[in-house]
Amino acid sequence: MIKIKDLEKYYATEDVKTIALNKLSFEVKEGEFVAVMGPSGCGKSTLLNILGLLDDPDGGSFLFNGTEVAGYNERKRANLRKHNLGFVFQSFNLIDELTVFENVELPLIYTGVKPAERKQRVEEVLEKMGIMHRRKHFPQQLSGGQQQRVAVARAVVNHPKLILADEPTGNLDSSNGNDVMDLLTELNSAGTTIIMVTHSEHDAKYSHRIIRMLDGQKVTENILSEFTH
Amino acid sequence: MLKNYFKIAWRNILKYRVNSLINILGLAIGLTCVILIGLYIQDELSYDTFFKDSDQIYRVNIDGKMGDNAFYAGYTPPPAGAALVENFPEIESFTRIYRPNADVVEAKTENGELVFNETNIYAVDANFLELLSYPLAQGDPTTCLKAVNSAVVTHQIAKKYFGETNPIGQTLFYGSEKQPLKVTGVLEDLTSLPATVKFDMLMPVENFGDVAYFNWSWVWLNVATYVKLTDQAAKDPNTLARLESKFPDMVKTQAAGAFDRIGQPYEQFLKNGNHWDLHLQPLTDIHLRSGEIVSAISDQGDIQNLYIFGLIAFFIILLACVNFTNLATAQAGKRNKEIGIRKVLGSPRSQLMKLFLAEALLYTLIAAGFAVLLVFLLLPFFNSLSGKTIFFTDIFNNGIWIILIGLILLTGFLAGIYPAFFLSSFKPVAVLKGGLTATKNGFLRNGLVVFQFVIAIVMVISTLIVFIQLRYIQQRDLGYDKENILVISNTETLRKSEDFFRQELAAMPQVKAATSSTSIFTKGSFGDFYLPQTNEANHAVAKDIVLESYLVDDHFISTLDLQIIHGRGFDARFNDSLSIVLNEAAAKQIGWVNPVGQKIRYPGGNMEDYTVIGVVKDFNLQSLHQSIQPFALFSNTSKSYDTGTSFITVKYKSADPKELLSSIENKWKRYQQDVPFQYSFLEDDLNAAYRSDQQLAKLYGIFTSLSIFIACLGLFGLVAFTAQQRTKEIGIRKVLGANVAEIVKLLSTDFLRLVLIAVIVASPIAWLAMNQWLQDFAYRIDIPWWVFVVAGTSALAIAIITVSIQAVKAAIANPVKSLRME
Repeated sequence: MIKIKDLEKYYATEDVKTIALNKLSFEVKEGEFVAVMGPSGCGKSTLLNILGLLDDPDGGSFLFNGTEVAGYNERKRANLRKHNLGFVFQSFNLIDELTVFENVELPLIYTGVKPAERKQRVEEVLEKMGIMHRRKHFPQQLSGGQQQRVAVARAVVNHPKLILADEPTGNLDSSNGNDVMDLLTELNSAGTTIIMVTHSEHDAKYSHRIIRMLDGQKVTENILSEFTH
Repeated sequence: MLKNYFKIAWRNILKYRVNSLINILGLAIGLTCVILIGLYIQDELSYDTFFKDSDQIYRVNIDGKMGDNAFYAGYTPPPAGAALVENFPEIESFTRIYRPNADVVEAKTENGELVFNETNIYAVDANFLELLSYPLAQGDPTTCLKAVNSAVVTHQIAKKYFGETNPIGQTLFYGSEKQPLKVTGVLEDLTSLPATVKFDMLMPVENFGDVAYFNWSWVWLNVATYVKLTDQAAKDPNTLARLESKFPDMVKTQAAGAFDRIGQPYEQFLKNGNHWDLHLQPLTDIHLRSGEIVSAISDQGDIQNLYIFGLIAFFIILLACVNFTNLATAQAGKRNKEIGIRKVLGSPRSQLMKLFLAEALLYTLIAAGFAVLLVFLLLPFFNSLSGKTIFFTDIFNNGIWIILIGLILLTGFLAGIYPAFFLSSFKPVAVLKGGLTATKNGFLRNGLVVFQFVIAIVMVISTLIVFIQLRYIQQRDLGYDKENILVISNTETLRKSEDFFRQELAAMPQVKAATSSTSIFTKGSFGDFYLPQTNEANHAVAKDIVLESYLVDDHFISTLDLQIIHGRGFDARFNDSLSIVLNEAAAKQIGWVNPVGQKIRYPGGNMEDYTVIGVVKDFNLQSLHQSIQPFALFSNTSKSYDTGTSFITVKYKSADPKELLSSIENKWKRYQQDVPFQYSFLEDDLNAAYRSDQQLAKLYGIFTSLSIFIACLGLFGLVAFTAQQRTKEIGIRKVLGANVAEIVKLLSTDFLRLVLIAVIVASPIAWLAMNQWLQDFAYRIDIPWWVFVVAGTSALAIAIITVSIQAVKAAIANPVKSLRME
């Protein structure tokens, strides 16, 4: 599903050029659950941004479902993003002005789903996440764990092929964190590909494979469980 | 989708209350001004459009030049209308208006006699109401003015004389001869009617001998003539040019006799570089597009004022939109996250732009609601200020509400378009990282603040100059002392006893002097054509001259303190029946080296030669809108043309004229029981001429204050925002020992610098614009340097106050609190 080869990304200020990704290559198969680990500044977030089509690489190739997407403009990336990708952030990134229902509804609006169907799908997913009773609340009125459930609900409501999770449990206590990890595993077993950036060895154990990074490069790969189609 | 946008926008409005308040208040005030100005402009534009076939009706104007006297007037000689209809099939009919002098009208009622002096009676041709469809409540427009002794009155007049009795068929007695007139028609109240010509009463022109007497004349310009083109001719855009090109030949044929009679063979008259051209002016153009065309009967505005007001409206709404733009972009930091998430979730830029535009539109809609309410509440005040009669319901007439909706959409668009572009351009990654701060757009925001203050300061400077100019022309030396002068009208009705009455007044202890004359300042004058004597020796330059004139008694010059420069004034010791006193302007135009003793012939009379006995220093007959024209005084013993009117002008000593007035009135009643005592103070009459100027100046002043207010609102919001943004910095500075003054200075300096730049930019713009505006005045000020200083300092002062309120608030906040927040 994802194949990157010699991916490069630089951040340049006036006199210093920082290399964030240094000819990074790996592949992720459809249905896989991959964890990316590494110390701060190793390029995890940059990688996730590029994989999430939020940022453009400076070099190398990025095949998404066999299509070269490196060099896509913002409009094309947005289009690809809204149909194929779901995001889960450490800080939840819910829109404070919108209710739970509306936050989850947003991706459906952007993909042009009709109102009646939107309602049905949002309620379905809220039910599944166990936050149906909170659907009229605003994010500030929810606990961290509930907020992350909403974020996950929002990430999956459009049935994305790939979920990108950036430290999904980073702002949660362990019990809420485990709940979220269980949710992600459940989604993965239902067929969704997941790439998760994390600092937590505990969370990484939920995945099939851990990619360890340092200074913009892949250093090791631990295969935790055999992944087969 | 739209509902969704509005829902989010509404929540944002509630969330950022201070901002929302500033935006809504600014937009509401802006829209209120625009709606009021719009109603004003609409009212001005609607003049005379209500007449049936108004597009077929034209006023006949005359563009004349006789010697050095050139004029363009909405008057014609009496026979012009008939000649036009006779010669040109395209012209279907004509009607004429003649304005007689004020006269008394009497009604005999059950409660005795009611007598009033009526100043607004117009004499018209029988078809007047047929051609100009004034709204008749009772009576037949085609017949009601046919009989010589008929009268058509307005509702108000009917009520004044007859109360609730049906006025139709009642009798009114006109003038000192008490000529009976039968009321044949009643007009609706004309007060709020947008008509250039308004009156209280109409009577057939046949009642006025003057008009019939001058039916031979092509130079007696005392009637206004309106013509109606045929339907077909009016539709053809070339008709006007074609007709006007044929007018000169027609005038030549028709007017030859008249010009011969005044000693000016027409061919010769033209050869001397003179002209006498008729023009047609569309009825609906009269109010706003008359420019220099003179008319005493029509209410003429100036299209230029509409342009100025339109511009003001545009700028005021722009100021409010700039506030919106500035605050929205300044607050961008707060919206970063939302924008980022939306983009991550795949929102295309266009949808984000729609979201921000919807938000701006929602603000505008709310503001518009308040604006309509404000208009409703302020309209009575606005009407009294502008002298208009605009009704609130006018908003829903004439498609104004469509314009209003367009205005709301446009305002929302103007306010929202830049924020939409700006906010939607954020890169999602950068936004989510929180890498974008609001300072990024400082240059544009600063530019917009400067722009706002430039507009506001230009308006302040202009308003100051308008007021100084108006004060100047009101206080300028008129060539006589306008204070303590009482003018008594209708004294011709005293006939032979007029001079006894005058003597009696002059003898009163509170009175310095009294004089009788056929007219007096502000009341108009009789103008005609004269031939100065020319020979080798006297160096006369002008072969002919138009002189305005009064017939006066021997006390005129001394009562009004006119200064004699050469020769003498009229004097009982001489026979002055063939004497003339000129003003400087007349003497100068004629060019005589030594005017006293020279002769002037009056071809309009019986070719008498008048001898110049004196020259007086120039004085203004009218308000200072008009410049001084060549003028002559004749003795009331002369055989020159007598307009038949008379006024007694009293120069009094006392500061409080109340007592004087009542004793004069008592004396009047002993001489004249039939005509009510009518008087005015010269100063009031002069000031009346400046009333519309003052109205405009006041309106202008109000709009200026509002524009400053809106600009300051924006500044207030920006400073509040900056202070908030720099809370941590302020906290650290305070911990390190900065005092309140230093913090206030820190926050204020940048903004005050912007206002200072605005002062520098605004001054030359205002100077250029106002210099242009001043060109329209015959007497104008030099723009004083201090207005720029005053405007600049006051703008700065207001800005300092605005900024300080916020800055002090930020500076005195407890630093521990602000630092803990981080």
